[in-house]
This record gives sequence, structure tokens and C-alpha cells, in this order.
Amino acid sequence: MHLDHDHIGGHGHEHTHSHTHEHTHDGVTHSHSHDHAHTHEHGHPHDHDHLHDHGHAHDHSHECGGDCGGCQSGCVHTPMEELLALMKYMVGHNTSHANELAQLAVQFQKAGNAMAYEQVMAAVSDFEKGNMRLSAILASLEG
Amino acid sequence: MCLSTVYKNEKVEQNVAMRNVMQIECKDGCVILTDLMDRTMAIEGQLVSANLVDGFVIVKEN
Repeated sequence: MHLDHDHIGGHGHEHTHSHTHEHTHDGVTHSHSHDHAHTHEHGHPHDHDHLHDHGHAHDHSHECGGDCGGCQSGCVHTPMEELLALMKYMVGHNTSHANELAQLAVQFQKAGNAMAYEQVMAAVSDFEKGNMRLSAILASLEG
Repeated sequence: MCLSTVYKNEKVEQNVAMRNVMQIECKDGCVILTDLMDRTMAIEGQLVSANLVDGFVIVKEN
């Protein structure tokens, strides 16, 4: 990805190095170092930290592993926003799973197994009740 | 369907690249991850495996 920075010298090979550069994401500009392999021309193999300008926008690995809890990078999302986003996703996801289970129950019914149909539908009902509770919590947190 | 955790090279905690990944795209030698908050990350390497039941993905980093 980073083939457009300058080095003095004469031979090319692939290697891994770490460097630091400024970039912007989520509306916030910051810099931090990362490691990656690439090929470019330079005079000697080395590890270095340097600042340079990229001619293109890109995204790259965060050493924080995507966990913003201890991140100092100034990401725009607060931990609470992330929790709410995850909750919202889970509620929607559970709804999808409940629907899938209900369809599964219908398959049992079509196969002539009324007991399995009823039991799975009862489980779906319980599942939906739990999800409604989650939804209520989410609404109160968002309110 | 479910969110996944992406690991670099091996499924060990210290190799977590990104959690709550909702989209993976392989492009130009990079595996591009997008999480629930729409953050993206590109790992130079290849997709090795995706376990969609247990929700984890292994990416081999170059």
C-alpha cells in the first residue's frame, strides 16, 4: 500500500518496517506507528521511524486491536456509543434469529412434528421476551 | 450474519486485529476490515480462514 514514499538508493526488495505518519479517520487527524511489509527502492535494509506524506487515502492496522478503551488517538466514538451500537446490533440480530427459529419451527410443522413446532415456537416466544427487555434497556439508554 | 473477531496469523488474544467486524473485503493484497462503528483497517496479507459459527477469522499478515 505504501509504495509512494521516497528513499535514496538503488535496489528493491520486500521487507517489513515500522513507520509513523499522520492520517485522518472519523474526522480526526492523528499519527501513530505501524508495521507492514512492502517493496521499495532504497540503499540499505533498515528499520526506521519517519513521517511522510501519502499520495492516497488509506486505512491501516490499529495496534489497539479495535478496542477503544485505552486508545488515546482521539476517535470520535465514546465507549458508551460503542456499547449502544453493539446493543442495537444485538437486538436486531436477535430479532433475525427469532425469525429464523420461527421458520425452522414451521419446517417441523410441515414435517408433521407438531410437538417440535410448539416447543420451538415457545422458545421463540421466550427469546422475543428477552429481546424486548434488551430493547427496552436500549431505549432507556438512548433516551 | 454474526460479527466476528479477526486475528492476525493465529487465534490468540494478543493477535486480535479487530473485534465486532461486520465486513471483510480482499483487495489489492490487503484484507480490509470494517467494524460495527464503521472503522476500517487494512492488513496486508491474505484471508486464511473464517469460522462463521464461532465468529472468528484468521488473516495471514505479510
